[in-house]
Amino acid sequence: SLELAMNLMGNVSRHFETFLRPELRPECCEARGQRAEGLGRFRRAERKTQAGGEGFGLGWFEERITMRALSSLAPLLLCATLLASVGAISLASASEEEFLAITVSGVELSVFEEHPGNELKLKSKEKIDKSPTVFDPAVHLHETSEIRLSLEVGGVGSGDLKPQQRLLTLTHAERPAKAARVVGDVKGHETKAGTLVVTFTVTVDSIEGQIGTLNGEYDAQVVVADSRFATQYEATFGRVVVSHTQNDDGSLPSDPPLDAAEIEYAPRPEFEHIMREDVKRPPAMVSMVFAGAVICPLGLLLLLVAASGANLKRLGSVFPQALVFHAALAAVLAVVVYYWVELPFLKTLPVLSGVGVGAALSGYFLLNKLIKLD
Amino acid sequence: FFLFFCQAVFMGEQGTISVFFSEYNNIPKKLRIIDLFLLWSFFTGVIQFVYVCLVGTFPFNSFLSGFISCVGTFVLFASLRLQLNPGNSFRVSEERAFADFIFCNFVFHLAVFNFMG
Repeated sequence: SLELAMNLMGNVSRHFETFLRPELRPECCEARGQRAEGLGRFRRAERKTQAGGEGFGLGWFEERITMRALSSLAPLLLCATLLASVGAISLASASEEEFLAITVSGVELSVFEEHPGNELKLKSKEKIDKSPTVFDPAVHLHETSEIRLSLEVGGVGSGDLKPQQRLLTLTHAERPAKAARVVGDVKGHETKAGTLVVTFTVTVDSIEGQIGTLNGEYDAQVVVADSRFATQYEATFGRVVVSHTQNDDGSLPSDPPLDAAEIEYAPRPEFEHIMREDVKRPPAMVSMVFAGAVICPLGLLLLLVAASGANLKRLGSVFPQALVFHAALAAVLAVVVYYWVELPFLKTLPVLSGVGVGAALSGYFLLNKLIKLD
Repeated sequence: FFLFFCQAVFMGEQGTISVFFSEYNNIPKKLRIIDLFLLWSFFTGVIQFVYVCLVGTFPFNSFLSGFISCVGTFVLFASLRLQLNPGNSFRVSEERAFADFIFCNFVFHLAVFNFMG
């Protein structure tokens, strides 16, 4: 169909170009030679035009741009028109369609056992009224049994409708990557009009064909849906214990090996983080002794400064200014210590700026006073 | 030679130490007080270093903070001494030198407290 469309576009393009350029039409010349001669006259006229004989650029533009653009535009316009019409038709048809309001009832899970003579007999039947449903005891499936899940889908109308999605999924409880799916059979209800009966038949062979001989518990989920349904039906129930056919020696068949996806996303082995050992700390007494030893030079300093004859004579005359200045220095130190203990850095900066300005001003006034006293 | 060296350094009025102390007493008192501060910051740093050598460096950032505080204070005091020394020809006044010293201490010890942890 694509090749046909391309051929159609080529033919339309050639016919349109012929329409725009009369010199190419077969009826203009009696023979092919005359057609070629006609083309040659056109080419000569074009060259004369390009040389400036009859006006510059008109013939060149007509050949290089307008003709080819118009000839290629026609198939594009045709395709656009076709697509628009198809889209309009589909939209119109879709708007006319109504969604089916289905009702699901009579959901039953039946277990059949094989008896001597390959005869299947009903062993148990349980109803599924709500989702999720937990069977107690669990439903068992082995090589001589069969599970059938049936449900009635009403409100499908009188048409011959088969839901597009009708799946029963069995997912292994411990290895969720392993899931087997069974497609349900559909048939009309014998007595109720506009009702379908969807039946899922699960055997050990159907599971083995998909995920291998994986024994264990499975979680089951049934989904019945269609694009024409207003809502989908979905139910979860469990658990279904599956036991595959025993080997000749009586042992259970081995589980299939792990897939690449299961290995990649499987839990990693547990490990114990090796924490760094705590650094050996010195005795508290040693630390306190050295803390006291660090303070001692300060005391010694004060004594030596006093003994060296520090000049305190003018302290009385500038005592208020000196007091304010040293208080401002102490405030700066207090802000820095508070920052060390609790205050965040960005909150410390504005406070420190204000206190620092105060210290700078008080120091300026103190030094000014000292200079005046000199 | 060793005896001659000891005699030259320690003994007599012309010994090196005697000359040093006699000349040292001639410098301005202000500079001698600053020298006391220099000694104070030096010995504080030495005590911290001895402690680290005895018990280890943990926590290292706290040791660095304390030790650098001593070193930085020593440097700032030395700079102040240079500016206040009449023998050096600096164009800043003593008051300006002292104000610069105070400001540098502010900024420096803010960084010290930030690094202490």
